[in-house]
Amino acid sequence: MHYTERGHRTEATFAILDRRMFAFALAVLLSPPLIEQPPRLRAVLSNGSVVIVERKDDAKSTVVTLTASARGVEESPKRHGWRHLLEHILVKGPNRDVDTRLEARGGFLRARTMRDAMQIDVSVAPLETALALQVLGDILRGPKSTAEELAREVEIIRQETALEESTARLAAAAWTGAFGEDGLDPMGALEAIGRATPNDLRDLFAEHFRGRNLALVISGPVALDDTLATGRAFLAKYADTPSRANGAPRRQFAPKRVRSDASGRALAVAVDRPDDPATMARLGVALALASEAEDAFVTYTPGYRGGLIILGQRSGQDLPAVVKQGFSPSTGRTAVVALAEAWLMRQVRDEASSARFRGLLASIDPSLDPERLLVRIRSLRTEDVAAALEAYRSNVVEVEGR
Amino acid sequence: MLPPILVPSSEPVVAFEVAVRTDVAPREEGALALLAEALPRETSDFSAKQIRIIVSGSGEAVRSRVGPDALRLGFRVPAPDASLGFSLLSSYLRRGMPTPAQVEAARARLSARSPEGWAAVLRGSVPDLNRVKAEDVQRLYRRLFQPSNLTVAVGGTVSPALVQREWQRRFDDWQPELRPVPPVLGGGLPQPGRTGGDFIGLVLSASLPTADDSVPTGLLSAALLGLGKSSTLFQVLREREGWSYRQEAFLAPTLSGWALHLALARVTDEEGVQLKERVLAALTDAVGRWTEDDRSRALAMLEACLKRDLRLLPLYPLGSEPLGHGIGDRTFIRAYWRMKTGAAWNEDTMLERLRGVTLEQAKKMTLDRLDAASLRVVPR
Repeated sequence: MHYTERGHRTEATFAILDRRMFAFALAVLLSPPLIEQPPRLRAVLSNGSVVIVERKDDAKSTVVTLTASARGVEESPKRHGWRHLLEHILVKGPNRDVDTRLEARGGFLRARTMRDAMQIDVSVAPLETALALQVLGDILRGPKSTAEELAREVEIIRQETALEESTARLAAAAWTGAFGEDGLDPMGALEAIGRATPNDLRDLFAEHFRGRNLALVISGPVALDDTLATGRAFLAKYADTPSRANGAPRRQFAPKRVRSDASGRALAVAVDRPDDPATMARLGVALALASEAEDAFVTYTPGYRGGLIILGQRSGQDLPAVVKQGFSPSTGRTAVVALAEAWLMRQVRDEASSARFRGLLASIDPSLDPERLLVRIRSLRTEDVAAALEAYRSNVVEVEGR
Repeated sequence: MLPPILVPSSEPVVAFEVAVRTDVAPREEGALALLAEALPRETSDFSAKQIRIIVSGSGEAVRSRVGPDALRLGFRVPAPDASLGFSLLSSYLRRGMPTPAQVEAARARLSARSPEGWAAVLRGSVPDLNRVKAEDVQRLYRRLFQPSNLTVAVGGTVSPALVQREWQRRFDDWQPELRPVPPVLGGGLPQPGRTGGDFIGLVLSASLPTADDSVPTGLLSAALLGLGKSSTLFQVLREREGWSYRQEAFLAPTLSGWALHLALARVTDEEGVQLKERVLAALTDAVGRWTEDDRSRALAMLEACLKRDLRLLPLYPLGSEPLGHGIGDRTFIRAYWRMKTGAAWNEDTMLERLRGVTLEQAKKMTLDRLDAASLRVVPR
């Protein structure tokens, strides 16, 4: 799953610095810190895991998100999609009663497998943090399955793959075009998934969910100190075992053009860590360009190995012209900053999205948080915007769909 | 036109949501689709660029969507711009008739776009855009955008005094057209859609009885069937049988009331009718074995949807997805509910009505609907 933004057709026009646009951007820049500052505590445990607790007094739910970095278990041709299969099996719980227990109390579990992490989040009523942690604790006992169950789950993944939309398929083409085997789609390849055995999944789980890879975020109307202590006790149980080497950044790519059978087109630029100014500049510029093109989208998921920002268009033909025309970096900088800030606001707008986004950032680097990204965004210079614009023109993987 | 419904919120925006009743014949669906596509872009008072700038501070585009019995038009402005928002609202409702050029641009955009994935399963028929003339769309705008045919809600941080003042200033003199606007007759009939992928879609639908307790009974039935991963659809169709990855049960409006829908997507060479028979047999058996524990679970999940903003409520006013808990959706449901039922939308009232539905009532409703369900297959 990617953080995909669509429908920004009517966001700021930046080609001409309109009085009202300038006023809005100025208001954004001069306002109090854009991200509300509810009290928040963070702890890094001796096993390398991270706990973050965020108090949101007006939240109607408490959300507990466990993020497991994919360090050491990156997708490879041999195990392509095993993490996705693991997610499907893991979230059932060893006794297949996770959902029954949660939903009887109005709780709900969601999970997603990304290239650089897996996330499981549990939404519960405000005072039910203990239930959420019990359920996660059961899940972290590891996957339990039979060969027959795996076969049925492979069939379900086949059904899931068929429903993938163009945006995801264009993005997958961009990733493999850019990074080859280093950019494999976490959805997986059915043939490879079909070869996984129950033992394979248990081994994979042990590597994936070792202490150092884990980040737990609890967001809601919670008592900070007590909840932090609870979170620490929860994560302290998971040993930090040695991992196979990896975590190296993805290699640089040369500009190229690739084809996809999805409808539309996409341009992908390489990015490093999310707190790299170039990353935020490329994101803001993509959002600005998308606002000028018909039926455009922007996809970006922060990752510990860097990755791509993808600017795409499902229907409509004007994206190449929009990119070519671009805008003046000096007059457009304000709007680029405003759009990137608005994107950041959306990632933390409620307890669920905040828990997911903070968990993802913490799994990259325990000290990384949205507040640091906000500083990077607000520090963007005209030169950063100019360089980002140039990247979309000359240093892209271009995906041509049908 | 009744004064707008106010939806107070602490968010620093003002959301304007309009529910337009769309009692249109099948041959008018093409004109309606074009109207919805053309409408948000510009009005006779505001250019496209001006509208983009007005709403840009709220971070969201103007949206216009068509459902089975209503058109939704919604936008947001930063809270300090509430008066400007009313100006834009007035322009959309009273002077928003698309020009022929706007209609043609909308036709080109819609023709290039087609739903895919799950959206293609739920879409239903594809409106015929080709035989619709620009004047058909304009006539439809004149017919639908009448004071008695709209319900407006305003949400966010805005003072009631300002709302009253702006409302009086902009809408008190709005009179309906004296002469009825004739329907669009020359449009083509909608055609069946396709998924466009390797899968087929199966949608089973049955209208609810027109009784007072139908909606809560139908909603509880939908929750028992499909809300959550311990629901019947998930446990039987996916976990036990492995027939589908995605399956949903929900209430959606019809022109005369509500219907219960079951939908699933499946990669298969099997005929839709055969799959339907297997699905119905499996579900009928499972529904017959529902217990009070199942009912309690469904109620707990419905409460989470209504009171804790879990975005899974199996009530799809626009026929395609649950509403979210953002200020726009919270404002829209209030406009829509008054348009549809004449009553105020209230989560607590709905929850109380749901708790009054017995297990036997839900079982009977569900089994009767399964028995009466019509089948729509969405082919590859």
